[in-house]
Amino acid sequence: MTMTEGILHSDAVSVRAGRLHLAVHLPWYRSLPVSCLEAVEVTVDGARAPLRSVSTGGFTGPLADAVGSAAWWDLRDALDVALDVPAAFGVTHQVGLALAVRIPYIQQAPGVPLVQRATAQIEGTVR
Amino acid sequence: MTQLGMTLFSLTPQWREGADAVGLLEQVAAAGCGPAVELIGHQAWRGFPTVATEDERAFRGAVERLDLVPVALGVYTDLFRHPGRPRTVEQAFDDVAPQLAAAARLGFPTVRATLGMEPQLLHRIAAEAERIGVVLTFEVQGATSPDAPAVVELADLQQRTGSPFLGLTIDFSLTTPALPAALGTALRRLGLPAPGVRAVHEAWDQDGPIGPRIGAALAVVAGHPREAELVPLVAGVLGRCGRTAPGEWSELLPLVRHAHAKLWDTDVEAVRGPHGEWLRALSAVGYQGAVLSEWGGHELLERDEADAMAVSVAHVALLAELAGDRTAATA
Repeated sequence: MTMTEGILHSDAVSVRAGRLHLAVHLPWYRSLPVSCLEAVEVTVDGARAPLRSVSTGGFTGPLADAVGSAAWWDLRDALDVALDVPAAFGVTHQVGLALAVRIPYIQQAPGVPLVQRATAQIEGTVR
Repeated sequence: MTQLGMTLFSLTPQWREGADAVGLLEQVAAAGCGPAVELIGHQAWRGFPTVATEDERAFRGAVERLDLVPVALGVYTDLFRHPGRPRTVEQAFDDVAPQLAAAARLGFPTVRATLGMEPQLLHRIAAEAERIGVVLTFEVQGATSPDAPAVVELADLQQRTGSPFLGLTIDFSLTTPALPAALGTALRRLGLPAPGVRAVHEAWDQDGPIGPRIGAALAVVAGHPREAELVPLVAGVLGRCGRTAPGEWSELLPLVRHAHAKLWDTDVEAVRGPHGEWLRALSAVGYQGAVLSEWGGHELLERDEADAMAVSVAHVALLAELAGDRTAATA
């Protein structure tokens, strides 16, 4: 299982209050602070999907607020990505994800932390 | 006598699929991959370094019931928890000290940290480790050289203090005769054509320090549509495949308190030579610590391309054979 493998499970796409949600798993081998979340970019059926909020480990808010969070993204938990995209149960979508998390203890150059980037695509049916 | 075993980091696919510490310890014991085990705090327990009393009790109960020996806990200094501003010494100390305390509570006599801790922090953490009676080790691996400033700083501090609570985790990846075959698999999966894979290998095969060799390999993937994923993969693996011989580390071997026998591929025979060399070198200096199988292939191979536990079983058996421990080899 590579770090990228398994970041989107087959049941990753769901609907809540008429909006699409995506369950994203960590592309790393250990839990990381939520403040290490650098980028989450989602496409749905080829179109860029605006993010409403991200949520895990007790943090819920816009991606830009994650940097100030003291919460942790646990290895076992999904990041719930709420999208500003209408959704309906049972509809199948092509979903693309580009994720970037900062690895806070590895410096690829002095003072420059490693950023782990992962991409994934799935065909997901809204549950 | 050296104890053999495995780090449960090798089972990262299982951790990422939601496995828990006790369940994996049971699998390790059933597979005969003990008795020595290493875990990573931030991998094994939700909320680490806080470990719930019932989780602590379950862990201690499991290792006792399964005749396993917790030998080391992986701890981390997350300096860049926030972008652009590293943690202060005070903040970093406050992050790491509870991890040492958790190790002691869980019954780990040793912790393994990432090499390169800033000197002021190193001094404080080393003093804290000694205060609570946990051996603080820093991992030397891959292309690290014996004269690297971080290694020299650590050795100097140990010499000045004479502390038995400060030392090295030596990783056998210091001696890597060839890049792992699994790297080629990963590069091809990301769309690097065969000539590119060959060029990455040729860059690593060059003479000279690792920095320019990695630079040459990164030039190969520059401009590739998946460059952002290829760069950390290439730099990360090449940097963790070193070419020093055990003999070059002889002056530092008395500082070794813990050891990783690292491999990437599923064919354990690929490491027979270097791992045998390292076991002999450690034995020659009277090393009494553990040597743990550490499989990193899960970073390169997909779930259906490798079985982490099967590789670990084969590798622990190889280590037992090389160490001349027939009991463990047939366990």
